[in-house]
Amino acid sequence: MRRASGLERAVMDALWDRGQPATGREITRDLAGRDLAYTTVMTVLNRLVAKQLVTRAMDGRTCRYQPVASREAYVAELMLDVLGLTDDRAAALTQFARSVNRPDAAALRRALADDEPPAGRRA
Amino acid sequence: MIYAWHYAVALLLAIGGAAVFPRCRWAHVAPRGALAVWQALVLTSTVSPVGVLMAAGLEPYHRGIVPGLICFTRGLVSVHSRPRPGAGQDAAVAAGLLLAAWIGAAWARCAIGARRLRRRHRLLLSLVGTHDPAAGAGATVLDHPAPAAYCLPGRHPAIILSRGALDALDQAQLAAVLAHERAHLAERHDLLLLPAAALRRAFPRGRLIRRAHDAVALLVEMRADDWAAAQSWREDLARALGTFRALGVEGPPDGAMAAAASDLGMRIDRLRCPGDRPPAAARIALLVLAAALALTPLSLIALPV
Repeated sequence: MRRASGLERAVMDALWDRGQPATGREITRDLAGRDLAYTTVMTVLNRLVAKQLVTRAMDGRTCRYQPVASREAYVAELMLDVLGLTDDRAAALTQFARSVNRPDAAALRRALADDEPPAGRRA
Repeated sequence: MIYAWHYAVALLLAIGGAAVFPRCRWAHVAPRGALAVWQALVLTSTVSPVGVLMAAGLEPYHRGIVPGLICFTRGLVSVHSRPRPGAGQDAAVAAGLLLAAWIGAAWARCAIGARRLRRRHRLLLSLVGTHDPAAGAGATVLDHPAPAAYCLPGRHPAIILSRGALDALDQAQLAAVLAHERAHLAERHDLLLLPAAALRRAFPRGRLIRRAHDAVALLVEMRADDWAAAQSWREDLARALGTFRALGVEGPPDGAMAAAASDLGMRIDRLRCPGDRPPAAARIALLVLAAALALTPLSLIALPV
């Protein structure tokens, strides 16, 4: 799971900005400024599905794509990682100053719970 | 039984050291030396319990652990070998191997778990992280109001600041925080934390182990503070810590929050009033002691052949 490429980020941004499931063609139109071929966008979408960042659903005979979780949910997940509140003392990330108060932590957990849990979350 | 006794004594000394060392006042004044002492204590405590069991079980062979294990397995395989140990000694060897496997698994889970978390973290950051000219080109910004500053160690290191931190810190404080995080990356503090974290994972209810892990974590922060202070960010770093503290605890703090608050206070105080360094002779003596303590059980793994 390496970093997402610029294209992957552009497609995710387009999906998030849309706010509802979209087809490959619609995303290609959204990214018209980047002058991308439909096939390129489809390749990226398939990669995102493989990385469990995007889900694919059949709507009649068309394929619609939508993000697995919202931007806010991912931001909340990252913040919880830092606060050491998701993982158990693996010392994976140490933060500058442990000073988050409990209201913040509770709000973060709520933000994650309200959103559908990202399918790619590790156990 | 002399080798088993060596391990037992080393273990007792390490445990005693872990109990007594937190009270040593110069640890916070010379964090690098203190970290070396803690590594010796933690490594000795990790190796010695296994050593006691294995040495007791392999005693008839009068060898170090690895050479003794080789003879032991030969004894299992062939009937015509040297003194066949009794059932008690077989059990001791088995117990030693089990304990080694348990600790090894904890090490693996810590290292692999940390790597996995960081990889996912890196992936999500590349999707939702932004950049801000205020933070500079070297840092990624996470759009969240809670203050946070941290780094992602590894082969592709990164420094991350939350929007809340960016808004709360002025330019000088920001530079100090970035210098602090660069220290963590440059000196690979994540590796320094691994032995204590792994030991804690293997024995999560051990009180001394928990204290050792917390002590190492705090010393690592102090070491990064010193690194930044050496680059003339001392006062700005102290102010940045003060800003974080002011934004932090609201409401009655629970145990973890209280500990975090006191850690912050200690870091601010030592930046503003650095204590006198203890005499070099005393520090060197303690380092030599710690090294001797760690090397004894480690050497008995391979010696005598």
